[in-house]
Amino acid sequence: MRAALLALAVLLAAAAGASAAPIVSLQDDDLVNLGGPGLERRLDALAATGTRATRVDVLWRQVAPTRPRDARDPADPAYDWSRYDQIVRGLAARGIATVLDFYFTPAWASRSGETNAAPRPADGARFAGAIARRYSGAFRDAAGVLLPEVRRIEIWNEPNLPGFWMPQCARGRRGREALVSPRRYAALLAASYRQVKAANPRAIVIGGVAGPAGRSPRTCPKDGRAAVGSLDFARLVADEGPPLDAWSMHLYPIGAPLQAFFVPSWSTVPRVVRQVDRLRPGAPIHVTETGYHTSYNRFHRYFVSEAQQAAWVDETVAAAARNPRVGLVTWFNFQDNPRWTGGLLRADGSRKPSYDRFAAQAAANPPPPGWGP
Amino acid sequence: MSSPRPLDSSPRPLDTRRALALALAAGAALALAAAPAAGASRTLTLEGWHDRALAFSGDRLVWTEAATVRVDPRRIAGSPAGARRFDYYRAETFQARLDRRSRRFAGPAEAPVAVRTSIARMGSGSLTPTGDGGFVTVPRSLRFAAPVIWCCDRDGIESVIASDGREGAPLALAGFASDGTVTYLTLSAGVLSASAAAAADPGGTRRVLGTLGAAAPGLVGADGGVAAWVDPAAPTTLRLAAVGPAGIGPLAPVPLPGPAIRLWVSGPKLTAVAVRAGAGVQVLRVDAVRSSARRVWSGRSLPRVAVGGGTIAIADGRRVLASRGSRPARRVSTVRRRVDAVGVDGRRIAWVERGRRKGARVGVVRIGRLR
Repeated sequence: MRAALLALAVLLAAAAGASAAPIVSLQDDDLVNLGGPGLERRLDALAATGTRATRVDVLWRQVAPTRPRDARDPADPAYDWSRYDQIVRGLAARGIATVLDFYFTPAWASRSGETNAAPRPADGARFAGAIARRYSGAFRDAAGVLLPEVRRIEIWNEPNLPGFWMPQCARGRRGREALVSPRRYAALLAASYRQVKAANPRAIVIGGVAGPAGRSPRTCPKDGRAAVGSLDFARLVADEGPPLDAWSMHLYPIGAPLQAFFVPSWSTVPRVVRQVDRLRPGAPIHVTETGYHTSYNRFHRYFVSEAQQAAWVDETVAAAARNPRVGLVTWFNFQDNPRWTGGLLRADGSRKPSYDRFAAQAAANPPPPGWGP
Repeated sequence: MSSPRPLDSSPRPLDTRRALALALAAGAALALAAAPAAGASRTLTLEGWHDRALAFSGDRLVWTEAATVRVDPRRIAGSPAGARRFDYYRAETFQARLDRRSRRFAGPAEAPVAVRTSIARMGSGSLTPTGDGGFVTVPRSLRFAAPVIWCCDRDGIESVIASDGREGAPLALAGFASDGTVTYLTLSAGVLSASAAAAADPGGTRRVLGTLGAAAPGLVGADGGVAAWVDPAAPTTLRLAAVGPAGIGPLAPVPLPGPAIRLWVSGPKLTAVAVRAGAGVQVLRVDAVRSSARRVWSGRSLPRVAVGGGTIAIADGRRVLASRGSRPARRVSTVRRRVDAVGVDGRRIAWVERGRRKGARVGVVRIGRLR
């Protein structure tokens, strides 16, 4: 009976989702490096693409370089939100809905001192709560000015990859090896969910944020530095049963969006859906990063031509639309830099052919009214 | 004006993205490199009969391997229903450490460079050793600008010297490193140019050194401060120039006995050219000082050739030959199967021999010493 109800819920959710095309959004990870008029110009450029949704990385170490006395209170003097206040206000003023994710463990919360150290769930969750409270739509800054509401909080970034979360695996007693990141991440997600909902009951907590990894390691390196496959990650997080409102993942397929079938790619999303349904039947799947690079860079070695990239913007949206559970598709990134060449703009600021294709898709697939900003 | 960037002093988000991508790439590279047999072996077995370029660099053998990757859902467990076959293209450069006497492989092959694209096929292209285990690699492509990559820093991480994704971007053809600078040659609208960039910081110091002249892909090489090329309008003349961070200095042209079809450069003193001679092919050693070229080998078709340490190595079918000084190429070995690639550094020689293992095509790498 329970299984039948679950199946019914999934079917209803799928049917409801089928009527909505995925929202097409764009991330500009340079926003957090800018300030003042430079940031305003950059926000104008982002808005000029026609995107009405974006994702912003909140760098925990930058906001909280020292331990706050009350980490749940966004007004704690240890916090410096100035950059993010300007970004969130600027985006809201331009009618762009925002997803905020956070990562980059501060030294005071890091066991190893490194930014990629897994935080204590309570520490991370308090920060998630502080973000949700500050951008709940009811919080005033030090000058008494109301800050906009950001309803979507994504918990961490790519916690299945060692660049963002360590350790990924560990050797226990008797030499037994285990993938430890899913369990620890699930604890952070559960604690964050409680904190975020307490700060803003209308907030939507997005969990997972799984980075593009195929297979999990068969043996654990001594330093625990490995990547957990995104499907395994979903399954192992689901085993822990943390609450969430939506799941997110990142896709950088090798091959065209409608062709690629290595894990993870658009064609393997249904396998993730099955795991997410164990946590929350019918929960939306947000692809909060996807894209194609147009030249070789040492950090992303697969690339396509600029013409292919443009065509594959359209195909990415088509691939996402095939799965009605996909609610959001975020192109990463806005502009090339030496380390990331998947932008719509080249490093010199000129437009690639993909810019116009993205603009057309963003115009055709804006967020529904309930999304904000 | 923008306000100060507080993140400049600490890792930027891109730095973390870099770290993750790096970890993934390294993982992928190691996974791919897992195929060759590992450690303390006289031979190394590689998958396939792919296009390969081979060279010695210090205590390592390095090779670039270019291939089409056929992604077939029928051969991949767990492929989703309805998945269709597609291709992408790779050009990867591997390193394998050799023992002290360079008789055995002392460790598994690793691939610090892995270029993958869906644009078009690549060839192994130009592979220039740096002598300390590193190299400069430029995969060959006529359809797009393949990257120029220097390998590697202390952490084993490569540096992308040039990678231009624009349609019609200049084609990179060859490059070499000296004194921390990578000099590389590009071809745009049939005109060859030289540029240079700091190996460790290519983004910050890249600059154009100047124009060399008309050229065509396949007839360009560079190493040790010398660029060599052939103008397709004058195919019986080899052009040479000194190139480096200080600029370009033309050297005397060298007349060739026939039209050039390929050329290879090793250091400032050794350039080899293959020319058509009647119905056959000759391989010539070029003496830039005397503006002359001496034949070291002749045969019916273009052999596999490598240059290094003052030596020209030639693989002609199943025969492996080497030429030192001005002497004609002499036999080093005759092997059981066809040789697909050869590498040399004056005292060591290596080649990749075709083989089959359990019905599958493999390349067997062997190392020899030159007397």
